[in-house]
Amino acid sequence: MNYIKLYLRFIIIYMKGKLEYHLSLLLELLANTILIGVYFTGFYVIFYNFNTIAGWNKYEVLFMFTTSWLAYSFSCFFFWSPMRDIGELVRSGKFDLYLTRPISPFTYLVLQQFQYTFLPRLFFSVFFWIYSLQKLSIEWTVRKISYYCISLLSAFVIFSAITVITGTISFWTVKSEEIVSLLTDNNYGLKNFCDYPIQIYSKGMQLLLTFIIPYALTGYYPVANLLGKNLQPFWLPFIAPIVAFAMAVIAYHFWNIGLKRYGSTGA
Amino acid sequence: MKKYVDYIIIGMKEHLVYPSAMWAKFFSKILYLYLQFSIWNALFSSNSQINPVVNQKDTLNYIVIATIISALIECNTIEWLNAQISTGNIAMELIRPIDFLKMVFSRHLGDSVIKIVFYCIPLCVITVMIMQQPILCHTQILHGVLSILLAYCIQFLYSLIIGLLAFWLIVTWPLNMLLGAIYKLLSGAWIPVTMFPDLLYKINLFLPFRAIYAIPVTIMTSQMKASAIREAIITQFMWMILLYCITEIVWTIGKRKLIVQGG
Repeated sequence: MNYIKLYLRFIIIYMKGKLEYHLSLLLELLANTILIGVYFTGFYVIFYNFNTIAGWNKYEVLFMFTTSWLAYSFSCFFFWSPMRDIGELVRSGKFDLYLTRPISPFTYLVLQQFQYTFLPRLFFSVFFWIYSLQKLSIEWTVRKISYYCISLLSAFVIFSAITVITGTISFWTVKSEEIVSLLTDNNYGLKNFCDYPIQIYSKGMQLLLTFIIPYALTGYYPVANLLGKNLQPFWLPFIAPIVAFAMAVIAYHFWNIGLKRYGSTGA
Repeated sequence: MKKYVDYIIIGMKEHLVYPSAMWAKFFSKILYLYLQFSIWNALFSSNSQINPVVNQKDTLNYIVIATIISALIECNTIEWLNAQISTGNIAMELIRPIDFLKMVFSRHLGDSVIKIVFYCIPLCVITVMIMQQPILCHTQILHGVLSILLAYCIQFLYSLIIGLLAFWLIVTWPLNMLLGAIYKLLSGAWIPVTMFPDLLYKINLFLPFRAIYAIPVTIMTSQMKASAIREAIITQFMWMILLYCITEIVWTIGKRKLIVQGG
């Protein structure tokens, strides 16, 4: 409860600071809106020319990647910006500041900000998520709804864990940005592979996306299961919560190891 | 002349400083090539196609060539210029007895040499080994190379103009992000422009983006009439001249606006 109160305080201060430069805030939101808008335009152009991809029609694909994006946007609100900045904090020695606070550095890093630049992505995702849901005829039962909710939650945990792990790497190497961009870059990142049904890739790639960097568990498997696609083996759509839990544990311990390793560069 | 050759060498060295960054970049290029290839391959092989204008072989060739030349054409001049202007370092550069814009171009040239050697050629080798079928249109290679060179210049001039806008703006990344997104779609590096719906295609005719990827890649990969090639190259020429004029104007006005605090 205390943390929620603290978070609200922090956000008010943070947004006050940002609103001082309202023009640049507006520009940032506009830029992100166009970035995501262009992505959906490209998606539209592709499906203007083709009907299906690997047996999935456009509404199914849309439903799949908006599901994944919903979880991603929420995860990024909290974890993206601290994990992006951590490299710079370690390099400059400013991370010392976070060690002297009465709450843990991780909590402090996460609570003190709110990455509003992901709002346009969230809005677009919600919009097209609803749109695709209307076009698809999934019979929602209690079982399916709870399955979907658990999948979304797992997706949130998986995305967050990956972000934290990539961020923690900066305790060891000077430049972790390249690893981060290899995963989440808007053009080349591995995350983009999961905007399409993963059966279009080779077996090795599928294994990578399922077990090693499990982006496919955030959208593809749960949605494929809901749509009644044939998945082999049958248990694959149900491992997301277990994997999410494992990833969270790994991320937690990894962060703690990284934290112990931190030796200040400053005075 | 010697001075600029030195800057070319500096550009090469700057790129070689971080080997890990180079590996990451090379790896991301291969990933992207694989991603694009898989998606378009799946799109063609899994369905009835609505638009008969394009066929599978041409499109795959297009995508592969576009990805390979993107390694060469991409230009980090925007970020570099932004940083020079916003930190005030540009004042030091302006004191030197050289032409600033030519200096920037020389660095970019050096950077590109490294990109050709370390990204383009390996990517070509990998593609040839995997595809095992002729990708390029042999009769048009010379025109294609000329077109790529023009595209290279257009991309550089475009980056220069956007980079110089930092004279007027305080925060530059939102603009870069915005233009980057539009560029990605309209240049044809992601989706072949022949697939665009009518309206988008027509809008794109009046923008310079398609001269950077769509025109050279199409000349390289698909059979065209001689008159169509001539027309395409003339279009590129016109864009180049137009962008050059805009660069000169932006540079002349921007320079006057420059205020370096504590410089």
